[in-house]
Amino acid sequence: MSERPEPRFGGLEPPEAALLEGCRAGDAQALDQFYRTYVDRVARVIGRLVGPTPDLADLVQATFVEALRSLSRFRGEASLGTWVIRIGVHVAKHHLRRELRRPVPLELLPDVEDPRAPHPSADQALDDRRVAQRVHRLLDHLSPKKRIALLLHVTEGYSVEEVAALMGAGVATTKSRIWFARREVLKLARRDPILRQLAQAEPTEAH
Amino acid sequence: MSLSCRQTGTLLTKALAERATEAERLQLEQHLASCAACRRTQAALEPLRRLKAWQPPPLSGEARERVHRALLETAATALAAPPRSGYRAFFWFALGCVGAFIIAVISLGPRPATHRRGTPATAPATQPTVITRPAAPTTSPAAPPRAPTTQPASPTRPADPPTSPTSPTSSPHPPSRAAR
Repeated sequence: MSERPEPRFGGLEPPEAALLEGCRAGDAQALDQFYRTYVDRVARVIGRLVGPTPDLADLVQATFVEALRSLSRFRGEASLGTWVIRIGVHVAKHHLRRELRRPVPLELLPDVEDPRAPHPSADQALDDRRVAQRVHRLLDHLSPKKRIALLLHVTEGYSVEEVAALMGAGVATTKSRIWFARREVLKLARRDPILRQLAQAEPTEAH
Repeated sequence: MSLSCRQTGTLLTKALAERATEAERLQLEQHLASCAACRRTQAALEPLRRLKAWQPPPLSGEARERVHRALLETAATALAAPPRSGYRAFFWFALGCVGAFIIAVISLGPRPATHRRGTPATAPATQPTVITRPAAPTTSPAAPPRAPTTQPASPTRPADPPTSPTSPTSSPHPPSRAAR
């Protein structure tokens, strides 16, 4: 993920400190800059964690509102962006906990969503979006903590230590979560006919 | 060093996250070339690789503006309300004081004697004097006349000397010595 800025847990750069002071003072220009700097990053991370959802804008809004309310408690131990992402991770976790109460069985999911593709093969029909939907439905069977740890590590490319810091957990706990999440995903993916077909269709190559 | 299948599983995840070093990738490839089970595991991880390639749709312009407006509204209320935080701090401080007072009352307050078995220093002084003291002779000249208003004589123990309100050890003239 070359476009992803590396998280910093070492403190604030001078421009960030000025931006933070402006936001704390309620300066509209600083707030505007704060929002425009981080909105796309927050939306991408939350979207990756919760999957395709119509609630994405609400979750982004909840993240920024919570960030604004917590500005007085921000001590500057991490960069402003890392701190906002961390709040976004917590918002996503709460959203997933709410959604966890009503998981959809994999058997009830439609295999083909695009009616314009009458006879889709595995290679043609399973575009990234549909695979993402399918995998996220599958990930709904995982606990939110395991799911978030796995996705932050695998899809966002954070190291285990960074995932631990973003989730407010220990490194050993995070390693364990990732390991169990991967194992559960493998088990569920082997049971899912579409994803199993996809796995067989893809050539085996080192990532 | 050859990898075990368990290590390979962990390394597959690390490689998927693009966090594996070149040496780890080489080890992985060597192991995968000789292990069909790990190749199947790698193939089963393919959905996650595809998920990584997926980018969630960006927020629409309308959604962005809505979130921006909400942010500014929150700023107007949340950032311009310092008294609220003071009120909240006072509330928690008062709640803590009340809790500490309740704990202090519970832990330091008077308790019934039945809860203090085995602690004679704090037990009421009248009970041990009545139970342990031998009966004094009725003809003893040292036995003072009993005051009926303050200490009524018990019908079962007519010769009992007056009991001291304090403990026997702390009394300067224990009733038992006076009776002798």
